[in-house]
Amino acid sequence: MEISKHEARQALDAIQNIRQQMRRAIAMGSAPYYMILWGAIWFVGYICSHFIRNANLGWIWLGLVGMGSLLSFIIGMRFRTKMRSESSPRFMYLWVAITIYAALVWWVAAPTRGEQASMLIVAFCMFGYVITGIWVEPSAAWVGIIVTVMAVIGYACFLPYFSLWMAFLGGGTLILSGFYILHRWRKPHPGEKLHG
Amino acid sequence: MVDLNELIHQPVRLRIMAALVTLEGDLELEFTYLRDLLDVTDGNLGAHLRKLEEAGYVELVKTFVARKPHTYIAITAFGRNAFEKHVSALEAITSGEESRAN
Repeated sequence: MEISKHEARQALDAIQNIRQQMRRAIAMGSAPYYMILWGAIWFVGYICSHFIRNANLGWIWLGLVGMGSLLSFIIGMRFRTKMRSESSPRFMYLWVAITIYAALVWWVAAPTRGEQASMLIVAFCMFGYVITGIWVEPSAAWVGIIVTVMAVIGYACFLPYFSLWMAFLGGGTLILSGFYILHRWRKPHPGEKLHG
Repeated sequence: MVDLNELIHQPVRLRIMAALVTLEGDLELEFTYLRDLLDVTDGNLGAHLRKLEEAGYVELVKTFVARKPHTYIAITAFGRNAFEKHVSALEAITSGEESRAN
């Protein structure tokens, strides 16, 4: 078998593309679904936060977070069958660590206003996205940075409308980013036209 | 003159090996996931995997998850080594050396 330089380059490009896809899949296979889910939860929760200002709000958020956790578990279980490993749950450890440190900061800082609590949660969640982006997938870092910047602008400049701001720009960004990543990952990459 | 691995060079098998070699540590890939990633049919993927398994390049593990049958695929050390040699051969060709089938 003899192949030309051009064929060798095509084969190397195909290898590079599939490896890049795999690296993304390993790290973020379920990420867009989590983004859409939690974006929707943020959207509904923050809309409620703006219009409902009584004791029921806490229960609404509790219900939404409970539902989100249950659906996240289902998503996790669904993707668990796609790959399996006994020694590489790096991203699960990341989110467990972030949750523990967020709880620690919450305990020490004790936010008194709803907006402060929201800002703290957003900051820690987006920190997780940025770290994920630095490790494997730059688009996750951009989502983290964009949502954080929007949250800071909303908190600093539009505090009375912070909940509405977060519903549309925070939740909306997560939902749109999730759909964008799904769409982009499904598109064939240049040079990846190999068929058996 | 560089040695190309004819078994690995077939386009679908090349992509199977490229996907599997990316897995870190003891990570294994599920059959349907690999099928969707490569955009091939069950039969096509199964046939190529059999050839790679016969060559000792991949390992197939059949198991049950939540009472459903699943096949997990992983690359062997021998397969990883063969793939890396093949990639080196491809790189040598792009830098000007002539190819030879192995």
